[in-house]
Amino acid sequence: MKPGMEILDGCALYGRPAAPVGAPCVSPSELLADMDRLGIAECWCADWRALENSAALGNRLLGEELSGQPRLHPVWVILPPGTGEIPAPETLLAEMARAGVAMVRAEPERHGYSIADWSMGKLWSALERCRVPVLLDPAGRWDQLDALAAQHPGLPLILTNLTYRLDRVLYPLLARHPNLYLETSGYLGNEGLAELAARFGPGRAIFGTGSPVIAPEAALGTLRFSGLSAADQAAVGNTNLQHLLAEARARLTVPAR
Amino acid sequence: MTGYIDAHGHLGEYGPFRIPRAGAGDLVRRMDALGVERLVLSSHAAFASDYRWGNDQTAAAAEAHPGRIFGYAVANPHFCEEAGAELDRCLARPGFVGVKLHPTVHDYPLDGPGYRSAWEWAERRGLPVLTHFTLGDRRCGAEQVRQVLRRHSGVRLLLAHLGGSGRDVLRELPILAAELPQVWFDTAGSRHYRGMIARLVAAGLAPRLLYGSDMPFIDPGPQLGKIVFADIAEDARAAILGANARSFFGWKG
Repeated sequence: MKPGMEILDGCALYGRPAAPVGAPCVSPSELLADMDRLGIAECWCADWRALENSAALGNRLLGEELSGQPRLHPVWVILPPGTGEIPAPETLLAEMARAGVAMVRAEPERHGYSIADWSMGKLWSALERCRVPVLLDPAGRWDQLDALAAQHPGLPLILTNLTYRLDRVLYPLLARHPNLYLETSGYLGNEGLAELAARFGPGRAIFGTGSPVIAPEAALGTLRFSGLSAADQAAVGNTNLQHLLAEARARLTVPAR
Repeated sequence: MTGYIDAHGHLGEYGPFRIPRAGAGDLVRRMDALGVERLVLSSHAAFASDYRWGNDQTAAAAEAHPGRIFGYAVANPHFCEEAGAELDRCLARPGFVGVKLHPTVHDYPLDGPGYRSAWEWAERRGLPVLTHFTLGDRRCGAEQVRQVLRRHSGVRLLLAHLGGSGRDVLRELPILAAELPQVWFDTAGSRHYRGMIARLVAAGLAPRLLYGSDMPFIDPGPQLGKIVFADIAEDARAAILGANARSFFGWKG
């Protein structure tokens, strides 16, 4: 990617966690200051309150605090639909459309649920119908992930919180499922992005900083010093996410009253 | 060529996970692309398999790329009776500039008797030691470092990974640095968090930080980005990326 081209951060966290690892961004201005310093044009972030306390309340508060910030975009945390902690799937989609939310985040390990269809199937199906990208921490649930990707081939699954030790499971999954993508902040294998692009093309990685858990400077280095061509860096740093979000936005419509 | 100095690297394959493009030629190609002049490494085999076989791999890489790749000789505490002879054997070959210890892979405490001959050898030869270092780990935490340096105060010691990625890093590293003038820290690490480098520099640690990538165990891109893009003064950045390593290894040029 050439200097000056716009980088999009598809994975950051906003707010005050209970036990911060890293200096958290507790205001939009702090997020924006990092972005300006590092040349990041726009950022999609979820809220610690939604992750650590209440998905519904945290999602709403995030939307309120980011309103009027055209470069900052809320990502809503989801939970299984069976408990009523978040709105029913079709209601959730309508609320997302009204709030301008086009991506969700799922952390089954943190929140203690299964990603299998008996738990999440109704929500996966609704999100799949609108092609809403799901930022998913797989937390080692590779067999469940394999089934999820196969049963919902229209659902874009962006795997996050990855490590440098996972190619032996990620490569076969990527080969089997075109709807799987990797978020880059934790994917730190040696020449990992170059290897990924050589095997699967440049379309399977989505740039994210992982901030504040990951230093955004390190995340930027993963892309800038990847050895990828400028065109491939642009795909990872910008257009891959843009394409996924455009698909979702085209389908997320506010129902007529 | 003048460029960055990477004080913590590796070489070759590693059983627990796939590492592509890990040969010496691959490393030098990547160093060229990133502006890294010198890399000091120990092969994965040297600390995670047959250490003599691994030291030979390190030696071969240094011999194939003189002036670019330098070696740490690894001592295995479970074969401590061999340590002196093995370290002498390595030092007789060109390119070795220090000793690497890995208490977590060896599952052996840094201050245990199995490492004693390596410490004595390094102190006698005046060569620096790089050790894996994780705050809170009973094999290679701050207390083990203190114990070792009470016995071997003449050793220049490079502590890897900034001690990990916990909240205690920002509290403990400045204390250790003030207490132990022979201790330095390398910046390699897979999960270093937002603001970590800038806060350590603000705490006065810039003269004690050495750039380390851990390549090819992990990719050097994020490791370099963590320093190159950090919100720190340019003189601190230059010190971390090269000047401190020249002092640590005693390199004039």
